Amino acid sequence: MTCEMAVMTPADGDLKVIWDSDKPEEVSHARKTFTEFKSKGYLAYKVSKGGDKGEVMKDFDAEAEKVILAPRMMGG
Amino acid sequence: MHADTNAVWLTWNQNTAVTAGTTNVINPWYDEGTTAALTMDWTRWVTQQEETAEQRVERQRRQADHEQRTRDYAAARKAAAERAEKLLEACLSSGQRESLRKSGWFVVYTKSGRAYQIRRGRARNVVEVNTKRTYCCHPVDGVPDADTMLAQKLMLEADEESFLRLANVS
Repeated sequence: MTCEMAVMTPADGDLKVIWDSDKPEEVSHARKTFTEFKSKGYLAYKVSKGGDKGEVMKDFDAEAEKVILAPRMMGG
Repeated sequence: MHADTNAVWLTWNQNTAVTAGTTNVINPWYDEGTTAALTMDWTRWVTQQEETAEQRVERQRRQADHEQRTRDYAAARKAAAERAEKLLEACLSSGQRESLRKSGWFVVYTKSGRAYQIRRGRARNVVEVNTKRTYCCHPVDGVPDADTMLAQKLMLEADEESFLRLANVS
């Protein structure tokens, strides 16, 4: 299954990582990116392809259809 | 301290209480700074400030470099904003997309049953529909506004409690 991860960064707006859940090397790259941004405080959401029904992700899920990583939030 | 300066300082110390004494101090200082001497110093300073041909080339190169970096940065920010806009639109329902295009906001319904209007922007752009309370909660990083709005939508839908705990309310 083809999965995708969108990372919101100031420089990219949307940094895309796409992986095939059947290809270990692609899964490994996606997991590494997920872990890297999570360690920076990013919040991860697993959403449907249409972007709704979001739920908070604590750990990487290689089978997640679509993942969005958003920067940590603060009160303004 | 220079001998002359020392003498002036001593004179000043002895005479500060009276106007005449102050004049005694000012006059020697003023007299030493003749117009000719001042002009010579000014000319020397200006000469030192004039740039050589190499310096001019270097200055122009740095200026062009700076202008190019500014253009590149603006182009990168624009491209990032466009990608963020596409990501946001891909995560909205057709009704939300239409509302965003027409009115500049869309409504999100949370698990608690509340409805929030998310307006274009970064700060103080989330309004609870029923109470009209305004919430300010946004990403710590300076991401494009479309990313901010999507981050607010995702957090409200998935973890409204944390959003309300973090947000400033007015």
